[in-house]
Amino acid sequence: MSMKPPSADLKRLLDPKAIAVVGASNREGNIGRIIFERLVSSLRKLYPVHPREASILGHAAISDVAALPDGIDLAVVATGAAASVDAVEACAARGIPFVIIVAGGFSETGSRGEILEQRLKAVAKDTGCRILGPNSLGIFVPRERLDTIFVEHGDKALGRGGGVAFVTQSGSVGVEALGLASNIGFGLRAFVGLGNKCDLDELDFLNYFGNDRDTSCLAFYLEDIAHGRRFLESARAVTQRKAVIVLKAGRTPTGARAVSSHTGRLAGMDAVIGGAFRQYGVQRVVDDEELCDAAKCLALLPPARGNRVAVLTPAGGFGVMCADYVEVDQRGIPLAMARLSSRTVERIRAATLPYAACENPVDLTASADDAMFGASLDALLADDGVDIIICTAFFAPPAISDDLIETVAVRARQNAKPIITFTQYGPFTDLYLRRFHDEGVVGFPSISRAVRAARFIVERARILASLGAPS
Amino acid sequence: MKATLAQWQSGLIVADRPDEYEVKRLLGLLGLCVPEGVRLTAGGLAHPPSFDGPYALKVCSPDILHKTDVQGVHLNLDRDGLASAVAKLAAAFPHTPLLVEQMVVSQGPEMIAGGLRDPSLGPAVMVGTGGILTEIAPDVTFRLAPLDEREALHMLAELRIAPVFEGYRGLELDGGALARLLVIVSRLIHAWGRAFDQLDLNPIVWTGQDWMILDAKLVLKTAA
Repeated sequence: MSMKPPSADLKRLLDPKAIAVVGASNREGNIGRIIFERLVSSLRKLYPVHPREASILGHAAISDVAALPDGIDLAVVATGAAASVDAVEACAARGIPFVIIVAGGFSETGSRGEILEQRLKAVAKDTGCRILGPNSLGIFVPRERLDTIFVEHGDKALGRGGGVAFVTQSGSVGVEALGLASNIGFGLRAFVGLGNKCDLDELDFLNYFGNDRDTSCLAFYLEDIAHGRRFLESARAVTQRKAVIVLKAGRTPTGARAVSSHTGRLAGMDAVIGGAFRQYGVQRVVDDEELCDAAKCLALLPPARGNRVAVLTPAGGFGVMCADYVEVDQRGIPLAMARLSSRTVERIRAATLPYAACENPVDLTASADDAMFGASLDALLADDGVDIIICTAFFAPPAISDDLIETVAVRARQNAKPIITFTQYGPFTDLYLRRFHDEGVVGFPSISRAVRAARFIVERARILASLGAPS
Repeated sequence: MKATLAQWQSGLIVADRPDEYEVKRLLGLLGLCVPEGVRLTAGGLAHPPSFDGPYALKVCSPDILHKTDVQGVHLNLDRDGLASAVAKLAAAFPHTPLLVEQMVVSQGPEMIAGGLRDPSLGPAVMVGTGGILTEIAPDVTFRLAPLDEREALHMLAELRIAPVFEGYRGLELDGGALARLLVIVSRLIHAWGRAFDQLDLNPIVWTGQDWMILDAKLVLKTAA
């Protein structure tokens, strides 16, 4: 436990100027080729390493790691497991500070792989060369146009960057999360595939992104937490500045020894980790959708000042469902339907149709138009009894136009009070969610997810309030 | 804390395997409230206890996990009843110490507190609704040890039973005092380090003045 070296400065890993790709290839479909192709668009200095080829995709190839020039920041090793270990040893000897190992076939496969991984650990320990992986999906930093991920991932919505640092131990969950993120939109600061964590692990990335000005929220998918207490202690410090969300998959048994106490049996598989997360201000989620949803809203929305929710809708049914979800106690984070002030009710009444329901949930009816939405949002934003607004952006009513997006966005961007949007529009749902995202509005395609998002920001506010004093 | 622990540990009848009486003596040394009690090791009651009844009589051995299940507990005894119950238990459990305790009047729900060593996160404390049903309808929460009183109050606030600390149905249970108990328990298991395995304090009841620990079980890691 005490063997963990101090957290690395990961700048040269996440923003490398010169990159060597060991195993770069001209062969169609080869992983080394896919990675090299992706890196070509990153506009960094690239050094393909290949024993026989003179050039790879037009870049002069270097025959051997030892022949690489000085100043390489990062080597991406895209060869098989055994060759990768040799390559990493050579990279370390050449003084390259960071290596990403793509290959699987290490400790996850049995004792022969375990022996290979031990050699990697020894390289990291003996030389100070920092290793990401093996079995790492790679890194993706949209703002730097840096992408070493060899599988296809939709990234249109991610391409413009954002504040979420997404760190995952599982490659497939990571890719799927990227897909989810790009469908419904969330702004990505960086994506990191941890793989087997033979050297760099979640604690290194927690410390780095925790201090990174461009990161507004950290999201982790972890199957085990290395250095559990140190991770939690660092997380507590980070959560005073930005949200830390963890999906801890794979529930660890309390211990192999006989559990002879009530306490031991009640701890079950993971009650301890749930309590520890609450103690240290880590927001826990249980699946990939929840992880992405939480990341999306916590990266963008201000913490809620309280738990009182106002609902604005052009469709009664959504308002009623939303009120039901609000009043069910979930996550141990109770929400309440706000009581609107008489002034708010008057303002909404004056701006809307005679048969609109001006109490919470505010139902503008299907005859509503964009201006009625705007005026009602203004009234709710001004009401001190409202902490969070959930706005149903339902584009079916005839007088609702696409301008509703800007109507909501201009108010959401003021960031004074969190506005969460629910939108559902048949096959266009994802399109509208992305358009909202592009305008800086947090949207979800279901009422329950919109209400759950409200709980995340109330939880965040609670964490900020309770972490003020050391515990 | 460590000195208290070391001294207490050196006085155990069986090394690393404290019985209920010994665990309660340690809790008392730490300022926690336990019933008045006396341990009978010679198999009989030489003279009446120095405290008043009604009495509880229990078999007192780290080998017996569920005393009630083996008819090892007699409750609500007066002095005469105590003498005959001692004779019965001594016959049923030869060479096993017995524990005589003063029974107290309590109000409100039974609580449980405990601790364990999580394999990856280390010492953790638990609090929740206690009694014999605690595992069927769990209402418990955990934190890592050590913790402060504020964090202990957060734990109580998380329980479904939390309203009992806020005057529910006229109950006047002191949540602050229970939080302080948790702080002491958390310091105890944290100070113990790797020798600690599991601790159960169940039930813990409110006597009107304090939270009294009626039963206690401690499992240490025996030196390998």
